[in-house]
Amino acid sequence: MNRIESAPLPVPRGRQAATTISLAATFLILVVFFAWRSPNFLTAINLVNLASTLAIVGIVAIGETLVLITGGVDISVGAVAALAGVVTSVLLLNYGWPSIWLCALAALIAGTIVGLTNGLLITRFKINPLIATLGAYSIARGLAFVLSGGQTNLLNDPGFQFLGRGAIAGIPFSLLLMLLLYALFWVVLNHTPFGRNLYAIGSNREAARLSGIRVNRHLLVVYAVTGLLSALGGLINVSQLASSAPRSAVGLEFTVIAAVVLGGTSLSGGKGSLVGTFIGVIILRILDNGLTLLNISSFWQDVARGTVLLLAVGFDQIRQRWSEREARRGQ
Amino acid sequence: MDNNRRPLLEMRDISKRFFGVPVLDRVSLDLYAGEVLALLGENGAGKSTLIKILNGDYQKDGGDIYLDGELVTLREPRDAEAHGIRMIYQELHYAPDLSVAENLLLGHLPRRGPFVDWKAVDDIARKYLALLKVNIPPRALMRDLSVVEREIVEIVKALAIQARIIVMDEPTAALAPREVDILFEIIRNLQAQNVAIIYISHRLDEIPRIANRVTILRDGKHIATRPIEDLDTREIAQLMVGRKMTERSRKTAPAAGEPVLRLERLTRPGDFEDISLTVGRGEIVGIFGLLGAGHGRLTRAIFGADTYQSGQIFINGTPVTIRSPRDARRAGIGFVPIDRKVQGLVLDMTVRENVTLANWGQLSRMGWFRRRLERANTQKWVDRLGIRMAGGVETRTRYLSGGNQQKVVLARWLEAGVKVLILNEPTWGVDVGARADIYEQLEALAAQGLAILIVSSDIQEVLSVSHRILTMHKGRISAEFSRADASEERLLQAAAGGEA
Amino acid sequence: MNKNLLKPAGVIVTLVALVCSAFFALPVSAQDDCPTAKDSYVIGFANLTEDIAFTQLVREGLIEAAEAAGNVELVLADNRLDGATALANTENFITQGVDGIIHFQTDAAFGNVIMSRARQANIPVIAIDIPMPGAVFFGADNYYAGELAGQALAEWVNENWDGQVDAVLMLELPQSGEIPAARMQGMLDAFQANVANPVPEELIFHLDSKNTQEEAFRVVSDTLPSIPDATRIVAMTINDGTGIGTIAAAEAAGRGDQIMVVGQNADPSGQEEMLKENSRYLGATAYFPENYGAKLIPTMIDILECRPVPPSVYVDHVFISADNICDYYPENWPEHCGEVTAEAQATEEAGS
Repeated sequence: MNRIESAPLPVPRGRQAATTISLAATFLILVVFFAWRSPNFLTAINLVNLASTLAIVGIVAIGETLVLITGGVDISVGAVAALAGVVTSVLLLNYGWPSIWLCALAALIAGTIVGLTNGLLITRFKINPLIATLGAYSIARGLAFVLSGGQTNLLNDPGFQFLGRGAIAGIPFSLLLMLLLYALFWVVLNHTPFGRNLYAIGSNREAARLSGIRVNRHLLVVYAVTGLLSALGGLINVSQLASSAPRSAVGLEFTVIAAVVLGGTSLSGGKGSLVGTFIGVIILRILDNGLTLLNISSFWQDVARGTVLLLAVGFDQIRQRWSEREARRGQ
Repeated sequence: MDNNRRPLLEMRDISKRFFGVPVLDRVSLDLYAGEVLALLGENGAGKSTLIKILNGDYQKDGGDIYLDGELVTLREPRDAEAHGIRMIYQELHYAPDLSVAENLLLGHLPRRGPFVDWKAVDDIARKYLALLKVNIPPRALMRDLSVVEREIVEIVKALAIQARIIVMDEPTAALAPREVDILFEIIRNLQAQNVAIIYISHRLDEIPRIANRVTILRDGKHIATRPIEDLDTREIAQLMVGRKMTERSRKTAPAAGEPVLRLERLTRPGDFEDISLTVGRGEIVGIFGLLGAGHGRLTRAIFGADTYQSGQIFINGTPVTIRSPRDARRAGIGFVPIDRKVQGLVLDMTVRENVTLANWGQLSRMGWFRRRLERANTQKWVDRLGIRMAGGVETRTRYLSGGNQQKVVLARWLEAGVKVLILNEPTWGVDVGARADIYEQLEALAAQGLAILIVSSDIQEVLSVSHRILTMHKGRISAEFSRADASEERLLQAAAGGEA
Repeated sequence: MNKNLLKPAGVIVTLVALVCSAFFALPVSAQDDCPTAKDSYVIGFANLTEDIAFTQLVREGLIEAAEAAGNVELVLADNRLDGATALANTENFITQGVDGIIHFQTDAAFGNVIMSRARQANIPVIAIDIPMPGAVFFGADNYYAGELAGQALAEWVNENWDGQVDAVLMLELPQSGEIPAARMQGMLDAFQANVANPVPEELIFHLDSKNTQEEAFRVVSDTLPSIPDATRIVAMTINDGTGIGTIAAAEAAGRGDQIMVVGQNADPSGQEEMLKENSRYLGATAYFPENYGAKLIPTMIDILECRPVPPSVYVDHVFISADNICDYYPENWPEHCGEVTAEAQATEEAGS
């Protein structure tokens, strides 16, 4: 047999699994810490609060995870979310569309179109994803202001508010929707050729292309899906707030990218998991919630958020370098 | 070969011009199932153009391609793939974060309904790995494999997509001798599966071991196609170069001058230990080791690209501390890395910019480049080293051949006025002609007083260019030879630690 | 002549002229004949941003007032919430030869630079809402505006909750410094002074609204679990948007009926919120941005014509609630207020 003697038998080291474990540890440390410091943290009322406020960041983070896995980035997600909210309210209030759901559908389509445009700019015109989506960010945000005239609009449709505030069997509807989407995209990423191809594209685009994968088509779909999910996040936001404003979801892109990176997805592509993203989203949410419960000033909250992000990602990097050094030494 | 059979592939009178310059002039090639055809030629001979036409990357200007006797049109790589033609490039294209099995079936993952059928993925991967008698676990991540294993996976992948023709471009360039043996066994297994192989290599010594026939190109023209039995390596080289090549004479080594570079007990546990050596003025010292012996890492440490844990480096008898490439450059050390495309050159910069990269301080005045001076200096090195390119010093280095790229890296350090030059696998992927050229340049530079340390896994290279040879085994220096004492057998034995 | 020599010469001449004019202008303006007085004026207005309703109303009001004055031409610019842009706009105004500048800019650090440029050019400046050294201040009396809302909230609590409150949420904006702080302090002081049972410090939660609805929503969502037993919660918010976010958070937590909120600005979305059935938005102090112009233009003309002007000019503030909204904004809410009556219009004019 031709076993190559210069290298040991490579054993899959399950790096992703290890990342997930270190994430889960971060999560547990935070939970224990906040439970110890605040009597209100592990109360039913707060858990319901946490559960019902995860969905916006959580859903948008799915799209961002896909994008990052392909080695791209999308910073237009917050602006697209705001645009979706504005489109809904303006169509309903200013254009007198008969049903808010019709308006919401139009908003989802608008988000998808922005995403498709991103994808076209990146694949056809070879524009760097950061630049392309920076442009889209500016355009979407600008359109949100133009369409709304800078105004906040109230949306008092009780049916529509179910999206962001309703619950089924005590579980917030937005959370159910988010869990459903995570399950769906988990299957897509891990068990469909499309999903596996995304990893291949992010890992080595040229290899993917040479293997006959239609790289551009995949990227187009990924950015369109991200636009769609961002718009959905925007709709949940509007539903929760019962109002839309062009200035909403400011900085959402940073929270989302932070959560995804925290979840172990590599900014250079090829690596990442939705399980990690899911935990990343929860960690950031718990951090915000816990620090607010502890009555920490918002400026220190910013510091704490950044510190946790750097610590978690930093530890993971160190751990990975360790395991890589071990692997090298073995060779 | 059974010459009565119809060839699997016939390329007839293929011509190609770039910007009016003919690069292929009515070149023909035929290939039979189950054979290995070595496609040989110096850089610029037209090999890669011919191959790219076969792969649909380039469109031919004239000629026809027949597969199984039928005329085919190959407009894009997809067409080539559909006809069972598969390229394995020198730089492997694989997804490091995916498993071996997924890489094997990349783009063709079997499905059950809309989902990937993971069991089938595993089974198919195992089947093809077994066909070529390869023992690599299908679930291992690509990034955990050694270079040769990755290459083998690429070959298995070609088989997995039902390739009938596999083109291998310099498959042994990064391999140690023992790994070459393994690769050749895999290739023979491929032949047994009736796959035809076009084999491109600059290592002429391995051609007789693996090829059935050779086709030689020179300056875009077909020179000869012969059964391998009819040619020896010397004749092949002559056909390639077109002039009489004399074997490099093993002159006695010139006497070394006072030590310029001295290492004392340089150590990084696990990679290299207790390395003491000197390189004198005008001396070329070669370190030979099999892949993984630690010699590559040693050079990176001397240059400050990696760290060392203990020991001392002396330059001209003065101890120097080297923590970064910048420190090394200040101390007068230049480094030509193994993978010039990744580590040595900024491919999208021009030849001029690359040559002056390490020397911006002297070529700028108050933050402004002295462009004319820069250009003149670059031209000087282009002339002296014989760097050949279309378009002068403003050509982007991406478009240079491997040998010429290597010379650009050399020129950079010469321009920076280094005292010591360290080369890691200096002729990796460089063609025969350019190789001899580089050796001659190194000799000339040594004669002018440069101290040169060459680290290589290519035994011929170490033997032909070094004045003095050290061997490394498992991170330690295992033996030292003078030029007169060194022989292939002795070096190999010392490098293999006596086990060989 | 060498062209390169001409350029610096031109700059020097301009500078000398500027310095001289400044030198002569100062002592002369103290005397009776007023050198800045003219038949007609060009006034530069740089808006805070064109993105929000409030500032759009300020701009519209100014345009109207300029037309009404008859002899004023407005030059418009947008400071885009950015100090550097504000400085660039100042330079542009000076180049365009405006007689006076009305600046609505956010960055206190740029105030000095902007004012020194304006002084060099001898152009008077009125600063809206954010003071600049040496400029006449025009704008909200933020502390007083706060007091109006705090007092109204205290009265409502006295009437409906027997003067008893379990928790106070202050939706603040610490990143923007003193002005919003004055508003918040005014609200809290007046509330505590007027409520029957003043709230102890530990039941007052200072939260950072970051000036957006969703951030207000988040911090209130995260604070409510720490006061699970509070059933009488009041919130005082930096503006309408954060008020709306606060109410949304309470409603989403199923505690909408346990909260009462006051805010500031009373912009259209705030008005709509307070007019909802069973609204938890008691009301908001109005700043009447649409009326800024009617005071700003005459003030600027007074300055240019050397009439005495106080260092600070304040806008009128009124606490707007569902009860009195028809007195001020009847045209916004015909369904609620019925036909716009002549009296209502008269009252509106009197109020402004």
